[in-house]
Amino acid sequence: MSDQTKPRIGVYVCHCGMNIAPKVNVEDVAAHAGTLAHVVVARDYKFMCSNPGQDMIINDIKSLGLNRVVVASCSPRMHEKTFRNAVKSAGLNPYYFQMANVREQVSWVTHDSMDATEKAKALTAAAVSRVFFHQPLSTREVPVIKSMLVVGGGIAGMQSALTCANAGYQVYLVEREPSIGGHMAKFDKTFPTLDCAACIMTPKMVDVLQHPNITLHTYSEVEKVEGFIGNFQVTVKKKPRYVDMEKCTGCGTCMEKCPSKKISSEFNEGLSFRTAIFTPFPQAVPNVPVIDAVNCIVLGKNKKCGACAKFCETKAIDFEQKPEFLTLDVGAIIAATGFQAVNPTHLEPYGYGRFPEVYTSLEFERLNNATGPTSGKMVMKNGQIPERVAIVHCVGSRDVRHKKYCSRVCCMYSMKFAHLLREKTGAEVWEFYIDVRSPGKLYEEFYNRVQEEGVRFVRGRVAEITDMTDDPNDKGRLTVVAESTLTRRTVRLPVDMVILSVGLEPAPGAEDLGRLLGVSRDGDGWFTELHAKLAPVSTPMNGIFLAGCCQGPKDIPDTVAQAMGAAGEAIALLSRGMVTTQAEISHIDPDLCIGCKSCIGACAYSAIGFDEARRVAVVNEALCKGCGSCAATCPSSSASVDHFTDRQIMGELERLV
Amino acid sequence: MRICFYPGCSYASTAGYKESTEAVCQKLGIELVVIPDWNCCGATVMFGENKLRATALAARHFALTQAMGFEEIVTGCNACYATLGKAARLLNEDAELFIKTKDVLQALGLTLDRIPKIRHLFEILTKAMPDAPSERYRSLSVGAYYGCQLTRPHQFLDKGGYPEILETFLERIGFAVTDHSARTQCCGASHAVIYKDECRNLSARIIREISDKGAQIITTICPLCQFNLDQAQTGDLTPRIPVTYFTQLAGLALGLSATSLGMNKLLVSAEKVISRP
Repeated sequence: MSDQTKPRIGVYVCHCGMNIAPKVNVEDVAAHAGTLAHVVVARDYKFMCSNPGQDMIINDIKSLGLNRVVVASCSPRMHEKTFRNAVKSAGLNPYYFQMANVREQVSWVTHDSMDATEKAKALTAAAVSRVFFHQPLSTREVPVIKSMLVVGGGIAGMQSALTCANAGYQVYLVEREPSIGGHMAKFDKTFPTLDCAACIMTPKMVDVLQHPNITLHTYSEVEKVEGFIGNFQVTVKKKPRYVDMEKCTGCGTCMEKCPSKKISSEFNEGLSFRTAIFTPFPQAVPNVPVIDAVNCIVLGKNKKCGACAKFCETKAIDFEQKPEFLTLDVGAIIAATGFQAVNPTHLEPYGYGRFPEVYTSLEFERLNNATGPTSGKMVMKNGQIPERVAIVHCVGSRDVRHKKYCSRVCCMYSMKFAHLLREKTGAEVWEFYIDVRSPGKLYEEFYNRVQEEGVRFVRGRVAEITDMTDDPNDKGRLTVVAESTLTRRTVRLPVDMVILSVGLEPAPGAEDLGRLLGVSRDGDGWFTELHAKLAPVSTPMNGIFLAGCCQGPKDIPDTVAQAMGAAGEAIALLSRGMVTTQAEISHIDPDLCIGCKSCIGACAYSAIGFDEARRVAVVNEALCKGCGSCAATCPSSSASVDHFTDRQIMGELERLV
Repeated sequence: MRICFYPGCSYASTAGYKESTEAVCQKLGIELVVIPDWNCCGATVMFGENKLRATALAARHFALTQAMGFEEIVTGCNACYATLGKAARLLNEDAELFIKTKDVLQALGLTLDRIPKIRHLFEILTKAMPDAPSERYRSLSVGAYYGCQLTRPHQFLDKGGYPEILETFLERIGFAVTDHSARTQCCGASHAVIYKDECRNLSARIIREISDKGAQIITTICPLCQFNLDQAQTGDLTPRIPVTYFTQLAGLALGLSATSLGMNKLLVSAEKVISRP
């Protein structure tokens, strides 16, 4: 009440169409509010958020001299901003506004109409009581750093980086593997159009490398994130490659000469070997090898070797390399850390790891790839072409014992495998499915196409894959056991090869990155978006966006679309150039502070420092998120959060209890 | 060591499970204190009929165990192990069911305050058996057969689909083991009585698999499994391979005679296999 002598409050009760009004007697609530002290006017209206609704508030402020406004409607998350803007446009400080949530907290969750009306009255009265104590607050505008960070160099991260770079902003792309490309680089064909993954992928990888606005940091990880929207400071650790990127020409002699040749290739899913100095695949970007320090004879075993160094003509090998730490200043961050395929070893009835001819879908992708272990020949470990192949859907997915969610891609890639098997080998292919989910553009057509190509479909989750055979002629083959739920018969099908269409789970390290970014994860470990429908690439952390599978399983078209969406949000932020700081931040009264530092430990945003000279805690206003932990912790009541002062909260509570 | 023992219906009438269990326990200094006036656990049938009755049937033993002053019940039957285990889990999870069950038992003059731990005889013998008491059977290849209910649905003892505890045990006490894929295949269980032909096929598949993979002898851990696998060999569906109880092999390792372990009751004689391993 600093700038106005007497509070004049207007109360507006929203019908929200059929959302509030049929349950809550809105006229009654408005009439009750009209009887409260300092309330000058109380009205109800069909849609307060609509233009006429907002105009009603603006006109009343102007004509009736209102200096406080209460709207009883939906949640503040939905429309607080809308009404604050309306109040502001009428010339009032936007913080002279309070919202009572009578939709989510009343009409949607209360059975009895009378009860609902009483509760709505109480909440509205509490808001009136609170707004009485509101004070004008101001925000500041701070400039946005016009560069951004993308974490993860799969198709999502690459696409986000390219879109932002094309818009003219500096992009740092951080990838922890030696090369960008992610999972998509492992694929051969992509559903439903069957275009070659490499053909559409490698040009993009080269674009990323050559783009003047993109700085690529491969074999690097994010170590620390500080700051706030528009002004992040990110520490990146560049792991030692032991190869000088400036000197290396990518000739590959080092890999030929390396004597440690029997190391399981991660890129080929363990189906082939690599050397200790290696690039994961021939088209790697950058085309500079790394030395795997664990398996290197010099670095890992501390013995004499150095064959790579001896034969390197440009003297690029450097066994003395140490990790480097970089600090990047960026205005926005896009997380694009992707997924990992579920390891089916723990699903013992499927025999993965026991039977050599049981493959995961990623292994089969490599088996099908021209740069894979068999140069793209779909052959068994004995070199022969399989005559009959079973593809098992939903392995580890849609199962309360494992991952309860659908992986969204396994139906489609399973049918892609079936098509490719029919085309390349002529093998009989049997798909064991629960439901076929093909909801994308041209997906259902692809489902019909593979059926026409003679692929058999059995509706039933596979119970077991075993080497037990009933017919001696099938010795050496595998038997797939399932209940065909359409024919109600048990199927025991002898096959030569089984592909387990494994589900998706968050990439390892997602938990750590989530903690660094302050982005929460859902029950399944995926990053949580701000709003499932209307803010799918934003996070509750301003300035941090999501792209691709790190937010939930999705296929390539959806991933690319989301990556461009995240880039769009980041570009919007960067091109706006300024961000408004939060008004609701904490203050510590130096006269009351006893210097106990409890608040410093309680602050999750490292926003409180300590002034050694005065022996008091000091809030950094730029970093403070107004969460109130300090105010709750402070034993001397010296910390308080603007807009959440004790007086305001007590005013609200007095009406409720 | 004294253990509270729940024999279950099939224990005494099978081919030497009782004899071998008693002989081995005596040798190892384990006293089996049988629950007095025990009843059928209800097996898999009762839970399909009525949850409270099924729970009470099993829980009667919990009250009896409590009266005897024991904290654990030990059984040698997989079906009893699974059924008692299920009742114990339900009573621990469902407070209302616990109260209702208490009332049922009270009418019988029994008090139930705490739920005992349910243990399989195998757990007790695993702990009590010494390492390789004899090297005599080191080249005798044993196919271990678990049956369906030891590791499923509860996976307290080992992983459900491809358990390995029996193999580990057998190797430790001085036998060779054969890797095979029939470990937890169903033998038909009590359905063997009604659906004789179907169940014989199930059992025969298990026998063929274990025999094909090179085992000379099968060992089981459940009364009904042994019976089904043994009797399935009377026709011409399968090769002949003796089917023993794990307690009988433990007894042999301890140097006890085949007769004292009730092995003369096996339908397919083990005599030749164990005399020249």
